[in-house]
Amino acid sequence: MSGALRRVGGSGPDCLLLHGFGSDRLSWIGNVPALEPAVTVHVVDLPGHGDSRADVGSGSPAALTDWVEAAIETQGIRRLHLVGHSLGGGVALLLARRRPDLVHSLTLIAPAGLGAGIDTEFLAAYPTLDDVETATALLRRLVVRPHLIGRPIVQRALEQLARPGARDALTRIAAALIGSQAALEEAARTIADSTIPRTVIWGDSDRINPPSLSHLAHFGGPSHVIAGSGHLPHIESVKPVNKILAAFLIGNTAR
Amino acid sequence: METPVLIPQLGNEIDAAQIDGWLKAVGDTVSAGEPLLTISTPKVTLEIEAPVSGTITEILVEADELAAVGTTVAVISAE
Repeated sequence: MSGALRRVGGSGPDCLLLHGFGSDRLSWIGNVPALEPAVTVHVVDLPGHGDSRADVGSGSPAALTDWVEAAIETQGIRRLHLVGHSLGGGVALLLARRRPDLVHSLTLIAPAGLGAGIDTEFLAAYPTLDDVETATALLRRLVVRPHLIGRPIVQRALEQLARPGARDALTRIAAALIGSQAALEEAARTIADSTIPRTVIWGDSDRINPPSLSHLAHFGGPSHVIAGSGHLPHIESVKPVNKILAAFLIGNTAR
Repeated sequence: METPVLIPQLGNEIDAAQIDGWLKAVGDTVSAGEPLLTISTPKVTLEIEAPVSGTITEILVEADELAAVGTTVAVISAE
């Protein structure tokens, strides 16, 4: 557990970036430099992802939240900004609901819990991928511009899946995520009634987890729709998303 | 004036990126902010934009090659 969070740069208030399902800490490399003037940036590999060796337990968003909460406390961080993408956005929602004292602000990118219905086929298929062609086709569902899913990304995904236990862990996480929609939506409703500063960013062509306009309207805070982006707007439209992230974090660091 | 196009800083864990492909060629006129090439790291493919408007005079690293962070991969002659 010690050192699960990795401080990657910046100064000022702490900020933790929580990646999505099947992703890892390296998915944020296009965003970190833009955030460094505003915050001290931490990234993490969630259990079952990247180089994490942590046990996924039940694999539920709540179990992942337990783990993230403990990792933050181990690091001695008392308050931080949370930026979460997809599954990581769901974890951020649950953590903010449980520990509002810990959270300066919430930035949610295509988050679980505010969507109109997640692509369950994608979640079920991802852990079973074992050839380049099928993996490329599936991963390209994430984006509008297919060239953003190149060979190195597909290779890395397949290498990570080939590690012992990786497929089982992700299968468990996927099933639990699908089964946790009600809990995530409930957390979003609770946060809607709170004073936690929040903003939501979504690609206008998200096929994996399209937004629910009614959930978004109730959630409050500014919503940003990024034209020409799929489920990974922070990668596909790195510049406008970085601008939104930096402005929001700077605007909420004086608290 | 000649302006280099660089592989940007990608955090302290990444020291190089693979050139996935060029979206422009030598002799092409480009506008500042227009995507020039895509680079891949283990988890992310990013588009690198033209830092200035002008004409591409040199492409120094070809597709499928690795380039270290900070490497000049192309030169734009500004208008």
